[in-house]
Amino acid sequence: MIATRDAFGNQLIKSAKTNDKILVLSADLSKATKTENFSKEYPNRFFEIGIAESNMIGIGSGLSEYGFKVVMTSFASFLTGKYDVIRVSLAYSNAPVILVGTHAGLAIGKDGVTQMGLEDISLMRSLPNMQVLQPATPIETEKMVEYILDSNLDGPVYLRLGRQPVSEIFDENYEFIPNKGIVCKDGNELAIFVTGCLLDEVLKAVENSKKNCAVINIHTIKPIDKEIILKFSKQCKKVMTVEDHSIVGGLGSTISEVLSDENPTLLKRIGLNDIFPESGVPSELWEKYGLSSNRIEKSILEFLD
Amino acid sequence: MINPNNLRKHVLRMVYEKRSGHIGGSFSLAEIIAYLYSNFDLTSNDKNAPKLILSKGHAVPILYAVLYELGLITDEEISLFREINSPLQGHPDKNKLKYLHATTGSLGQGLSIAIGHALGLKIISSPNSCFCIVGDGEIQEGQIWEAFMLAPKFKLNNLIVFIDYNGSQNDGFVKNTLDLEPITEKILAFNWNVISICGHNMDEIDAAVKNGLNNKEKPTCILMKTQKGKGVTFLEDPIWHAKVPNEEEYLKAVEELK
Repeated sequence: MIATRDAFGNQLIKSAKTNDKILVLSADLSKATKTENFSKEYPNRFFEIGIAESNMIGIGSGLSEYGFKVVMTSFASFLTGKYDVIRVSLAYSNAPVILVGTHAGLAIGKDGVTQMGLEDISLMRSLPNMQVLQPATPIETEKMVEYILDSNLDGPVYLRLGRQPVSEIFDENYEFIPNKGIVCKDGNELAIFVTGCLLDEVLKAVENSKKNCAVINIHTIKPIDKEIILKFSKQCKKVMTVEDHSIVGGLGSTISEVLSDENPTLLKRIGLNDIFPESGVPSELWEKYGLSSNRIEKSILEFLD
Repeated sequence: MINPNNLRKHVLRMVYEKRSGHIGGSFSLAEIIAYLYSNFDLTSNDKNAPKLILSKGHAVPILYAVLYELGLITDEEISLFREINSPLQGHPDKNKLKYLHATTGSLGQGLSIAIGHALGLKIISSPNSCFCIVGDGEIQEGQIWEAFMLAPKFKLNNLIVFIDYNGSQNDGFVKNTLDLEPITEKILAFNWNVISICGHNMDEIDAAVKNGLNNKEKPTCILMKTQKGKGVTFLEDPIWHAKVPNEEEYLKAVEELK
C-alpha cells in the first residue's frame, strides 16, 4: 500500500520523461509532498522557493504564461491558507497551474490541527475558474495526474492528496474520465458519495452493514457530476456523503446544493462537524470523529433505521 | 517620446468623467510609464517580449492613458472606464484587456508574479526583462519581502522593480502609517542592486534602467522619489489618493497641464 501523495510523486517523474514543460515549485516540503525525487532527477525544472507559499503561488502564476505546466506543492492547510493570493493571482487571473495540497484530513494525526487540511475543499471550491480534484487510490491518482499533466488546462486545478497509505480498489484498466463519478458498488437503499482516501473505509462499512448501499467515488468535486447525483438520489431513498474534511463547504455541501436545486432528498453529511479536532493517532482520530469504517457503518444503520 | 503630461490629462479626464479612480498614485507614475512605453515593446503578446507588472493596481488609469496615447484603446473604450461590460476594469484585468501582463489589485502580489515572468523569460532564453512597479505603502505587505528575499537567489538580473516612493498611502503619510526607512539599506541587505533617483527626471530614469539592464547577476530595485499628484500643484497632496475633482478643480488642473 502507498499513499496518494506517493502515487503523485511517482507519476510526476513518469510524465516528466516525455513532457519537458513540467516545472515544480516547492515551499520546503518536497520530502513530505513527494517532489524530492523529481528535484533530483530534474534539478533544472525544480525551484525551491522556501517557506513562502504566497510567493510561490505568485511565481507560479507568472511562469504559467510561458507554456509551462507549473506544479506547486505544500500541505493542503498551508497552501489554501493563502486564499487571497490564490483568488487573485491564480483564480481571477485564470492561470493554468496545478496546486497540490497534501496531508488532507486527519491523517497527519499527532502534529495536530494546524497541519491538517480540513477546510481546503470549501475554500478552493468557492473560487470561480478553480477545479477541485481528489483521488481515492494510488491508481486513480496516477491516471488523474497523468491526465492533468498531459491536457491543456484552461484554468487552475486544486489537487487534494492524502498522507496515509490506502488500499487499491481499481486495476490497471482504470480510465480517468474527467468530471465523472465512479460507481464502485450499486445499490438501492442508500446512495453514499465519498471523496478521497476514505473510499475503502466506506466500502468496508457498507459490507459490514449488510445494507444494500450504492457507493459512488467522486474524484472531481468541481465541476460536480450532477448526472450521477441525480440518478442515484432517484434510485435510492436517501443520500449520505463521507469526507475527511469539514461538513461545511465540502463534498456534502456540494451534493446538498445539487439536490436542493434539482431533486430534494434526505441527506446525511459525514465529516468534521464544524469543529477543530486535535492531536492523536490517526486511527483513533478517525474513530473519535466518526470517520472509521466502524463509525461509518453505525451512521449508515442509524440513518436507515 | 511619450509626453507624461498627456498621460496625466487622460487620467484626469477618465477619473473626472467617471467620478471614480485614483489620480494621485497614477500621476506619480507618469514619467516612468512614458519612459518604459517609449523605450520597450510592452504591448506585444509575444512570450519573448518584455513585460510590465503594475503591482499597485489602483494606478491602472496611467496604463489606460498610455494605451490610449499609443492608439491601442479607443475613445469609446476610454469612455467605459470602470463602467459595466468594459475591458477597462477598476483594477488591471489581463483577461479583459490583452495589453496587460498581470491581474492585480490586492496589494503585495505583483512582485511574485514578476519573478515568475523573469524566470520564465530566462527559461525560454529571451533577452528581455520584466519590469514591476510597486507602491511604497504596498511594501508593508509581507509577500513583497518574500519576493525581495527570493529574487537574488535565482540571479534574476532581468527583473527591475520600481518603488513609487510618493510618501503617502490610503490613510495618509507612509511615515505615519508604517515607516519604511531605512528602505535603501533594507533592500541592499537583501542583496539587490539598489538605485535611488527622482522619479520625475527622465535622464535619471534612463540612467537607472540602463544600469539595471547591464547588471550581470542581481535584480535591480529603483527607488523613485516621487510626488503624489505630480504635475498639478493643488493635486500634490495625499488627500488626492482616491479623491475626484469637481468641475472647477478639473478645469484648473487641465489648464496647468497644458
